[in-house]
Amino acid sequence: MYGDHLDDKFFESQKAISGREKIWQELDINKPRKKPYKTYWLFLLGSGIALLLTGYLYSKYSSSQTENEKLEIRYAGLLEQYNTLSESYDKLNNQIATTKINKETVTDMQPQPSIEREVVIEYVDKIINRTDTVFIGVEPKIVYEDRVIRDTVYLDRIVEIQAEVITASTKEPENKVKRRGEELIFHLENRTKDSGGQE
Amino acid sequence: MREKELIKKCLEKDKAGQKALFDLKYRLIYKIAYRYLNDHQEAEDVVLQAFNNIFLHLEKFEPKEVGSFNNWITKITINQAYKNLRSKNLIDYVGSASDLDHVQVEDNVPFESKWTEQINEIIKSMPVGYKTIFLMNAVECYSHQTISELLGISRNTSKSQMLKARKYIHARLKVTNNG
Repeated sequence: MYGDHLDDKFFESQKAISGREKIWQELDINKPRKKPYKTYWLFLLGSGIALLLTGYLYSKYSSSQTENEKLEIRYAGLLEQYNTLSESYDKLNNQIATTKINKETVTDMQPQPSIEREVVIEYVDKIINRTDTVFIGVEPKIVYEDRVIRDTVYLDRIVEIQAEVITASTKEPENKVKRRGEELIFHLENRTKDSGGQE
Repeated sequence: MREKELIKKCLEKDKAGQKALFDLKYRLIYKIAYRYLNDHQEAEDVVLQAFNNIFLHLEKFEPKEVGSFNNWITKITINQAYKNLRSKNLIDYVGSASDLDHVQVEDNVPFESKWTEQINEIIKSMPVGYKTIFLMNAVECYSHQTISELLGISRNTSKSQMLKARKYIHARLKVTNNG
């Protein structure tokens, strides 16, 4: 067959043997993993990561920009609202001030109610039987009259208080009043004198 | 049997098995490569590439019958040799074959053993286009269909190239014998 002239002599020659060994050594299965492949993959990986990072940063930047724009629009809205509210606040303050002034004027114009307190002692005749002496006692009833004067309307209010308290406060002369129990008894003499001879 | 065991060892990435298979098939592959290229350096390149492909795709090989492994590695080697030739633009199927038009190819010419050496020399001197088709058809016994599939050419191209190769050999043989 054609080509078969490459006989055993050829394949056993030193040149052919060394050529064969060279081919065997150069086969991919006998070569260690090439570093460039590793570097290539590392480079690809690095590029991929860089690309992803760039994309992420860009998207974040653009989103933050959009967010900033939104915030600016919101800020402008709030500012406008604030201005409107502060105008309203000023108006209300003015109105309050005006109202206060008006109120004070009205209050000044109104007559102030005055309360006068008078102490009136009314004397009530009372017959007290005591063994063989007849006493005509007079029971004092102290009546306070508060007069509230407002324009032309007078309101009378009667306040009853305990006699002894009044006694202390009114400082009646002691010689005219004698205390007996809870009653105040006037001597007939004095009473007669005061009332013009009534027995 | 030994071949099967070696293939198995190669599939297991056994270094000794790979070396044994390499040694076993080296001569066959080298001869095929040299047959197509006529150059030891080129043949060595093709052998290297062919063995790389064989070891790389060994798991795809499906043993069907005796000798199928040899057929498989022969195809790989021819393919590699053809790629090598084509990369160097050495293949020209059109060729300057006008001088062969007048040559009459006679069938059933008895082969004489004394022509062997002459035919080998004639094949060596043959243009690459003819030679590739001639070797594949006449030596490897590939059909024109297989050749067309392997080389990516039409079946008619393969046939016409074969005819030209035969005419070339006839013409050279006549010249040699007449001279």
